[in-house]
Amino acid sequence: MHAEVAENMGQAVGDMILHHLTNGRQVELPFTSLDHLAGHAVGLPELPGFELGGVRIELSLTKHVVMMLLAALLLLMMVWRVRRGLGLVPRGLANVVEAVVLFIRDDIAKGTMGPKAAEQYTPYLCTTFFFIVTCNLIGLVPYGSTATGNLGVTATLAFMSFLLIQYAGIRELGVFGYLKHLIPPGVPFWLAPIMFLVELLGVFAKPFALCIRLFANMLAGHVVILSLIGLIFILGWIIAPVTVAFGVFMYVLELFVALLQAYIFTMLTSLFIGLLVAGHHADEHEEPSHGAKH
Amino acid sequence: MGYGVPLGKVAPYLDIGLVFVVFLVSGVLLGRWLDERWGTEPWLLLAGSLLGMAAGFYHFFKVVFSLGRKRAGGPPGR
Repeated sequence: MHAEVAENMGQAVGDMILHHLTNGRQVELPFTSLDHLAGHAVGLPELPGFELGGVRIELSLTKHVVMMLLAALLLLMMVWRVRRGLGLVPRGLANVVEAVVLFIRDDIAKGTMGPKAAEQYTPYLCTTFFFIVTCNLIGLVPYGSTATGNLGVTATLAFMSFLLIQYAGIRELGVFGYLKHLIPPGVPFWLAPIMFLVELLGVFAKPFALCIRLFANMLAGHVVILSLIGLIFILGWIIAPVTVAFGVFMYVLELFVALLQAYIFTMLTSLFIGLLVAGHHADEHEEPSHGAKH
Repeated sequence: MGYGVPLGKVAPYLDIGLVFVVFLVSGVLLGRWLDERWGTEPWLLLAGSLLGMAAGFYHFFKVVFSLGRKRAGGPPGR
């Protein structure tokens, strides 16, 4: 009898986790219903989509789209506020934003691709960093949802980085030079076609790894937190102090991971651009940074 | 340089296993997709898997050896 209840509860907890993490056609909002003070699901409007080259493009709002729009709105408001109050000495929010932007420009961009290219690509790197970090953090706010825990979202982000990396490489090296860099120097001629294929696969696999890494990291932490909370309902209230303590620990870890993953995404995008842009005159700088060539 | 640099040096090695798997999986997926396109089952799937494995090992060792070089303090590149 008891085992059966636990099994049903396990099913319910599993459904809850799935429901919480997957995209949906409604958002949960607090205080929207008198019966459920804790919250209530509100349906999202359906918008007409269209066909583009045989592919159906959906424009309807979903939970994650709303969260992304919210992130974009928050960022616009932040930038507007910072821009308005900009004095000679930044204070408050402007100070924080300046510190982050300087960090991205000087430590990430200049470290990986040299001072000249860094100025060019810093705006994109700042945009990705702030957007990803905001999306990640919105997922940690009650009633929020992690848009970066959706494979479609991270795939799109990685695809944009992919386009920028190829654009930067072709612009710097030319089409021929770009193809030539795919064969590492000093490779015997019979190995060259294989190395070309291996490196060509790398061109696609690197953004793919960016996409999977962000998605998996954002999803995993949330699954762990929700499972810990779910254990209370499966094993009984006696376990609550332990799971809540672990849950809080995971939550704090998630705060760190939210920043870390945004940083890693930005850093690796910058690194891949840097390998193409700074690679052929790397000797001019000290070591062209972190040497990570994967 | 700031605090980010040590982390930046470590970051590429944190998920070296994930990157290896991603290379392998992208080889397999590419092979399967081309198979479906050109109707050459199962040859391109096999070729893609082998290529994915080769690329995975190649990039894995490239990263690991660059780490070893830095730790030994030797000049980069050789």
